[in-house]
Amino acid sequence: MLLTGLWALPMLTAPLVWAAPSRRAARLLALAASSAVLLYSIWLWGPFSAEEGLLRLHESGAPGAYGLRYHLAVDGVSLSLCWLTAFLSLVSIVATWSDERPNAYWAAFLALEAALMGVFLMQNLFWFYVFWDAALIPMFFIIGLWGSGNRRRAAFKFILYTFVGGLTLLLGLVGLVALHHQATGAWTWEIPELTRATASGPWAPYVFLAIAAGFAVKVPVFPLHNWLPDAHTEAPAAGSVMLAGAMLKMGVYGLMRILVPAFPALSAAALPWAAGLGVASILYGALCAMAQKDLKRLIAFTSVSHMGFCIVGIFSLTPEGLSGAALQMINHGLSTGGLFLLVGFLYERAHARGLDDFGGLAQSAPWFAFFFAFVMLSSIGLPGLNGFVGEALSLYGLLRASPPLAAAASLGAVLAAAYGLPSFQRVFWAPPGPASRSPLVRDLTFREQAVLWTLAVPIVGLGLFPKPLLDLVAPAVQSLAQR
Amino acid sequence: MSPLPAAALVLLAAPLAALAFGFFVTHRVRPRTTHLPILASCAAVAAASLALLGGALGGASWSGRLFTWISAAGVQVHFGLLLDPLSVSVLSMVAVVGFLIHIYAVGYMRHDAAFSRFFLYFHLFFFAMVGLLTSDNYLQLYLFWEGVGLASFLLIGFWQHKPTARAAAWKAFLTNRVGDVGFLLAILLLFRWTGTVAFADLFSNPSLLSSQKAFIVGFLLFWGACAKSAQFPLYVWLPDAMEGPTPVSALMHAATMVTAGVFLLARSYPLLERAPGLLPFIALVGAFTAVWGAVGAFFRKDIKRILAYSTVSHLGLMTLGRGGGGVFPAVFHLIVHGFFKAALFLCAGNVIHGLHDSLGGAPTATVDDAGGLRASMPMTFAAFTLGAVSLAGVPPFGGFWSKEFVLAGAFGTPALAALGLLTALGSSLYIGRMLFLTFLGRRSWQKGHAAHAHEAPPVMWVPVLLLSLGGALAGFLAAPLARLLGVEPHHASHTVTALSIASMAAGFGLAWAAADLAPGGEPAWRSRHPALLEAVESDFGWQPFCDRAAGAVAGAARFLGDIVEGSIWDPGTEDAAAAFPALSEVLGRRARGILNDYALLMTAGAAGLAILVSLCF
Repeated sequence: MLLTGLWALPMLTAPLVWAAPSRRAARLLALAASSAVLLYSIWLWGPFSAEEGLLRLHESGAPGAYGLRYHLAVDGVSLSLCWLTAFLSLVSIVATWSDERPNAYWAAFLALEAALMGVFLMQNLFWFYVFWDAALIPMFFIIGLWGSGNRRRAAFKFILYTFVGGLTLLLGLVGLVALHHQATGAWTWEIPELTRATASGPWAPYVFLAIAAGFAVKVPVFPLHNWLPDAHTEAPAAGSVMLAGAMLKMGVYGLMRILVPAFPALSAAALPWAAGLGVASILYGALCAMAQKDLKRLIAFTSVSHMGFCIVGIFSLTPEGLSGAALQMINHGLSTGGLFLLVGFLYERAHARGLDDFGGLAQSAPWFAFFFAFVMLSSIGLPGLNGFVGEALSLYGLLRASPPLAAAASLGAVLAAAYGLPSFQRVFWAPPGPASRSPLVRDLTFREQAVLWTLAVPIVGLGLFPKPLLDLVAPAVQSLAQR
Repeated sequence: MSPLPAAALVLLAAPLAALAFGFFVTHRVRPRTTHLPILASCAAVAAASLALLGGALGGASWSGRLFTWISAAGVQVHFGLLLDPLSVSVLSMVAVVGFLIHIYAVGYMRHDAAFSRFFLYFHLFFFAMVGLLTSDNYLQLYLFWEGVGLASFLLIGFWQHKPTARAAAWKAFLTNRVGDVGFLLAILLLFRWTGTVAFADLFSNPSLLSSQKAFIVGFLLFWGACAKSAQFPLYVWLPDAMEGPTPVSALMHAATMVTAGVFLLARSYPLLERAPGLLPFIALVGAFTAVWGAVGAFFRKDIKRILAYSTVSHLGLMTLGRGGGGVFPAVFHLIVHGFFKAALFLCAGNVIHGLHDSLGGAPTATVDDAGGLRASMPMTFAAFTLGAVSLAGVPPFGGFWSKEFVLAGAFGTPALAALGLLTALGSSLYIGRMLFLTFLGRRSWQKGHAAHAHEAPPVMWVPVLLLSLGGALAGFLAAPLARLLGVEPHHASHTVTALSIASMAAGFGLAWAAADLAPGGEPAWRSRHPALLEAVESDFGWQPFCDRAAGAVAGAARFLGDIVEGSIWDPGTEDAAAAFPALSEVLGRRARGILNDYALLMTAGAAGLAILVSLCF
């Protein structure tokens, strides 16, 4: 019963938070629950290390009809994503502590946390999909109810895009089950079984494409990224943190957990196309980011660029590339989460997000400048900070698979400097703009600094000592690469 | 190789501790004292380097692993230190020169409001360079390489309110990243082809790389070095980089940053040697850059810009030296140049400081602003003269000896020899012109200005004088350095020496003629050739071309980010979304409650499903 707690605890607390007698009580309860989940998920490392094998901490109910079964387990990749989800949920709640939000807001974050945990834990396709779609609902409300100006348009775009993506995914997953039945005669929704036998047959490429497209919308991969800039821009700060930091990882995780192991031959055959789209995402996202005038939109496009590294890492099908992708997921969650938090703090003060609204903040808000520069440098892959290790390993994987594509992807490093540093300069160094003259724009408060320091620890830690995390994901990655 | 001594750990621990203490304690509590822990750290690093140098002269070298950095299947990288003769000799120069520049900066930055922040950035620069020199593998070197780039960004843009400083900082970082891509690809290719990036593994077993692969890796490394060490075509950031405070320029041009690329190539020499045709190519690029920089320096008027182009030129000489004659000429010139270039830049700083009142606080000065400073700034004049004769290669000063070794290596190839001699002539020409115009000649600063130029305080002229003495006497370092590197230096023949002295003398003569020290106005030759001046000002069109290329990328970004995203993707998906309500409208009209219609549709649907299922199984 170890793993059930990870999703059940926030899920059960969410209605209590909603029904809490006061906003303050709701906030406190949400804080307590998310702290408990984080501590619990870290504690799980102990039982996890004590077991052997790839998937550990198995927990399953009785097999039901049509192979439906409640079955949870984790490997290194999913455990690290659970940590990320728990960490970012707590960070989101603490970071927006002073916002006067209704009970439902805090409940939505717990529900989102529960759904994400479910996605990362479930080893049964049916339940995986239930949680996959369940995650959309709280995020839809977070954007649509508590977002900024254009929130309705963004929320509908988000739900339509990801719902259509989800339906495509459902078709593909049902197809996968059918293919398995066709090959073995047995009905099963168990992911370990479905991915043990290689799916084949004339319909396999279509099933592969449907699943790939469903996951690609979520990542998102160019050219299916269009929902992301709007959703990120209009979501409240904590919503952007969860969306970029944890939710995008669902897509990458799905590729690693389901698509590639179920279709190793097709994945290998798809390499030029898939890695090509990954490289296109890297370059396209970075170029679009260069042109943005809104800080949140800029960071949203950098997400497209950074997630491209995950794609090339995975489809390189090399252990290094896959390790890089696994690491890049965590790194992107930390760096992009941090950037969205900082922009959120800024927006809270000045109610502006335009690059040209600000300027000169390095003088009036030095801590702001320090943390923004620090997190931006981690995001653009400065070695010594976390972003570099994941990108370099993904790039190395790609180099082993396709040197010309790797050369093209490496140009992303130049473009990263071309969007990252000017945005910093314009907000912090340039002459003050209208918004930065506002007396409301003060330096970071103690609470905000505390949140950012807790992000800074893993940013430096994973930059210089990524070995424990790499060791954690190594068995999963090895078994994937050997298929 | 012996295990690491305590002194080796001091090299990294002292700057780290000083930076942490400065950032968390003094910067918050007493910002005016941030330089104290940092100077202590400089002293510790300098002492440790000299101690190690002593040991290295006795034949010792050290290496050791600190911890495992990255470990993923075929990619295993350990964090470690390698203190061999090459790193220890360059490190000693960097530590001593860096220490003196730090002391100078205390005086120079005394009145700056951001004194504390300056020292934190400054020491970060120094720390990254020390880390770079002591790295034992390419990836770790790359980490510090990027750290040097970051510190340069912060320092070039130190005066943030100036648009030119912001632009120069960005240009420097971006251009360096263009080079870094090559470096990173070289590292990844090394992993792929050899499975290691540790220097010890790579160089002890030369057969790991075929000559063709060595060429590719070597070329990419050279591309990276071209950006950091300002070789053509990637030197474009360096002339703009003097937007930062003058001590930054001194540190950047002498000890940190630009020497990193030369060091990388010296470090990679065993690899470059294996690549057929690569070393001659490198030598040619170096020789071309040397002349190119000298031409740029001769026509400029801004005193820091003259020195910046002079650095481009001398980095070209170092590159030429390594291409033609191995590691020794390059490293020797690197060390000698470090001393005299630091001295020259700091003299420029003193001139700007001394003219502060008449310049109205401008961060740089032209040769027209200066003039006749010999009397009012005697110490600076002495230091500049020593630095200048060293740079020009007047025997027996330091630059003479190192240039001899460079030219000796180049004389095998007529083209290289010609370019080398041209650079020798150019060096004395531009530095002579600068010396005459700034310190002799007319006293233009007196025109319309009540203020008088004044000598810098001792905290500023003592380090400068020491640096220029170091540069002047650096010839004595040749023999120990050769012994340290284990090479028999290739001495120049008498013909080479005679030719180089003749070029140098001719350069001074021309400089005297060109400087035209008569009071008032431009020398006649300048006003007669406006087109030529314009061409030189834009580096014969190369600078505008680079700007246009960057502008084209920005244009492409705007096209994708604004037009493609805003007018194609957004409306496209939103129209598709809007199609759903329209579809439901159409379908809704079909649903008129007529049972026959529903039955028909149901049958058709079921039939379709049955066909689909039968196709599947």
